[in-house]
Amino acid sequence: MGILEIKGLKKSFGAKTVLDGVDLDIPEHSIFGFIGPNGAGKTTAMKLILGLIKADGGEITVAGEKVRFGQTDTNRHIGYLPDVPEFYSFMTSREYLRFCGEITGLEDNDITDRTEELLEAVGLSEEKRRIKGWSRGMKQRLGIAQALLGRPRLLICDEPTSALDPAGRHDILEILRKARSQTTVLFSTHILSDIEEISTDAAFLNGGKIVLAGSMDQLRGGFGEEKYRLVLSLPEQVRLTEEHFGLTSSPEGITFSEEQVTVTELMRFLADKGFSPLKLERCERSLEDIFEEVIGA
Amino acid sequence: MKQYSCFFRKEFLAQKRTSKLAVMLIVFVLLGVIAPATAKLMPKLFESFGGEVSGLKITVEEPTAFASFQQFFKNAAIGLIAFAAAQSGIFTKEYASGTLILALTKGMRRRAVLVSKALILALMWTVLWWLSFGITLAGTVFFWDISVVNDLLFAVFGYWLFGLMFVSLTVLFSAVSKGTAGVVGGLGGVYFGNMIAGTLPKVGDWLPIKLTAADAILNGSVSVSDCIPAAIITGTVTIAAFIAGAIMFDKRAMQ
Repeated sequence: MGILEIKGLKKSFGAKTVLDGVDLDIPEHSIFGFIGPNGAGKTTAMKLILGLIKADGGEITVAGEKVRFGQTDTNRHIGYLPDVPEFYSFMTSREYLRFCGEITGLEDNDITDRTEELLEAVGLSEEKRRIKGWSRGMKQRLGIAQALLGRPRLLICDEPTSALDPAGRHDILEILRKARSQTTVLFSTHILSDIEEISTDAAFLNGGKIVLAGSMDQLRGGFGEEKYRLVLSLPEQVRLTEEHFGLTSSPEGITFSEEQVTVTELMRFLADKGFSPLKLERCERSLEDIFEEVIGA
Repeated sequence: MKQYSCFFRKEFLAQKRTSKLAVMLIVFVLLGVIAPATAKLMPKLFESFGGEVSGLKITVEEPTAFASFQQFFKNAAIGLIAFAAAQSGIFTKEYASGTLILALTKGMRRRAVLVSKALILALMWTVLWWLSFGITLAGTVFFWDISVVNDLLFAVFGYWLFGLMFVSLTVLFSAVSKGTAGVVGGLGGVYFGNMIAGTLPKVGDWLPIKLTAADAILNGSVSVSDCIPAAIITGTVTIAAFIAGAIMFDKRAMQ
């Protein structure tokens, strides 16, 4: 049983069905990427997991306990970073983390130690100002610190890297990657490269359902035939190779599958002709390819 | 229990650091000072106009304690409205900013949030109101004999209860409204509804706004027993609004 299990989750807002029977199983200590286009229902799913809104159907279990709307018992297992975290701007970071620690029932000493540890980990230990003047990136980092304060078993982040610059994005992703040893990370995004950078597992949400889910290896490998790409130095060589095997080329090179021509055959042809390839590589199927295929865009 | 105290301390810190506490203190202290000051200085003001206004000779009687308290209760509405204006967003601003969601997702009980906010409002209203009155009382006793005034304590208590009802209504309207406008609209609607309905002869005796008829109470034309129905209604509405607010707040979707 995973740390988070969702069965048949349904939610509509008026006439609009946002989630139409979502099933999900998140393994412990994974970094689980939750992808979908804007409006797919990722934030809605997270709010349902947190008991902030009421589901129309289905069941959610966190660490073996059922989630109930309006009750916050299951939230003691969860650390949550919303997409635009807002804190009490009249507090300093240490005051805010103390407030969070008291809510979760941590001991005073534990709060102090944990506060310093986490502020150090997210790079905010030197910051003594009140939160009022902080940048978006700083707030995001404080958001992760407060989410990890109570040593949650599940860390839920809603679009943690959107609206950050590349350096900020990289910092946040690094922090999330390191968090894996202490917790399970579920994060939503529409930036596929985030998923590719740190996720161990992912699920695609579209049309109110999970259309694809699994480990990154499964996702990349499980799609049809493997493809290869050949890059040759001279256009003439490209043309001859195309003609011989009935392939087509693009500016990136000649892409082919093993069904069209085996790698061994191709290499034999190149050796016979004396063509020296600039590059011959196996194409890692990118998430973008999978995403587009699954969404049907 | 720790959650209640933790959230209450946060509320107090918010009032302090956002300057709401300071501003409210200034307003209510001023109201307390102005009442006896105005009563004392009014005759002198008229004298400085030569005792005439637009050709009409005006004689102002030597003020009594009555004038001071009259002024206090006249200005009381300013205090109440200022308080409501400053505090009407106490819930709704947190909905809008998302700060409440973070607390709830950490496991903060909704009941603790509601009780802390209601308590800080009730405490602030109580302290500010009685402080303001205390200042007026001190000033009035200094200049005049207050034994001429009837049922003073009841008049002050009645107005305090009236204000407490609005604290409770703030909780209720905040639980059901999308934003601050809904709360302000609700409070304004109740206040003006009371005022208008209060002009109707039989109805007026039962409405909470009767408790603000300080003039009549102080000069003895309205007795304490005349106000008991209104006091009971006010107390009942206060309790009912708080309970209803708590129930609705539990059911509220936090978006």
